[in-house]
Amino acid sequence: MWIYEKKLQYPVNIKTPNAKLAKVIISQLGGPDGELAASLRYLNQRYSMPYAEVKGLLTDIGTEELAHVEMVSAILYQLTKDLSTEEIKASGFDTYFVDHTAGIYPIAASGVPFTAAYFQSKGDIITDLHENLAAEQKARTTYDNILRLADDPDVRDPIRFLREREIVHFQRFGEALRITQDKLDSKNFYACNPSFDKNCGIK
Amino acid sequence: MNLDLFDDLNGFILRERENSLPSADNDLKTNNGSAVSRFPANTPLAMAYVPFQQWSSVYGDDDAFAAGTLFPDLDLPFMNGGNTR
Amino acid sequence: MNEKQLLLNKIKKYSFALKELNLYLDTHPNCRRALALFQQYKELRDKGENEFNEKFGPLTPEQSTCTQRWNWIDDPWPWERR
Repeated sequence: MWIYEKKLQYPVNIKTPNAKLAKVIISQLGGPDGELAASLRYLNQRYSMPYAEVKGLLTDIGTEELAHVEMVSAILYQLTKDLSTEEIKASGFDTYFVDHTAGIYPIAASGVPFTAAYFQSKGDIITDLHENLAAEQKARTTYDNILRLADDPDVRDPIRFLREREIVHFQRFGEALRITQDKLDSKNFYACNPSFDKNCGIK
Repeated sequence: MNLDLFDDLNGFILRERENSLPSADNDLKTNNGSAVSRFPANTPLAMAYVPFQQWSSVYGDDDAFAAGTLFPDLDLPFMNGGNTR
Repeated sequence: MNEKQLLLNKIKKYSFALKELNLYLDTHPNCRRALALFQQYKELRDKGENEFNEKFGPLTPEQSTCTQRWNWIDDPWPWERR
């Protein structure tokens, strides 16, 4: 089960509202490569995993991604608090505002709402780990792009932190894949699916 | 003559490179019971291999927090066309 | 930063080190150096959290010790600007 701690993993203190920035950063909440997709991906995949190390890792990274959902939401909340009507109209934030005011709702920058179609839980450990490696790189590139677009140091600081976490997660998933390889017959990694088949490799 | 060496020349080169690193990098036996080496002995085709991190230096808690990782080896910031952090 | 923010920031740093080591240990479960560092940070973090809980209130609902009032709900919440 989950424990909630009443603190952000890393501080978010944004002094200047900026609806234009919020419009793009929202992709890391409700977009295809965002933190919500990441946490649901890993927390769902963990059930069919055959190895203790990987069950632990998916649980723990999935949990950290929930903390990142919270951080991105905090960034969006602070960027859109106390906006004037002029700012709302001028920034193009009006199309979100009309449906959600300054409420937080998971959509992509394109306006497409969050969907489980953004992630897969394939029930095959090699496949799922490759999905996760790709997901972490996609998230990193999205954060790179946000850093290209954001000048405000108050915004850049937590974004940099979140971006670095993706690189670390990539490394850990790579290690999970190595652990998996060690448990299988290297003559043919694909002879069976250790997430489903009995007697597939060692435990 | 060990013919396996020539079947896996890249693996051989990798292993030699890894073994020439200072011992802190791959001295797993002293601090890590069932060690996983940086690269596997066999690297068959049609599979991806990520190097396995070996314990090395760590940042202090202030630097780690600012960098977003405890591990300098994983500290890989985005250098936005000349801009640093 | 006031005393509350300073203490909370320290707790965040220790918690972060713990999380990093947590993920490292998930794939390196026998690494004694990581295990030792984890315990060191755990001690620092637990000490900080107890102090915070005493002076400023609970960080989780189950840490609540106040018998007059359910202070878990009190502002500020983490996403709000200081």
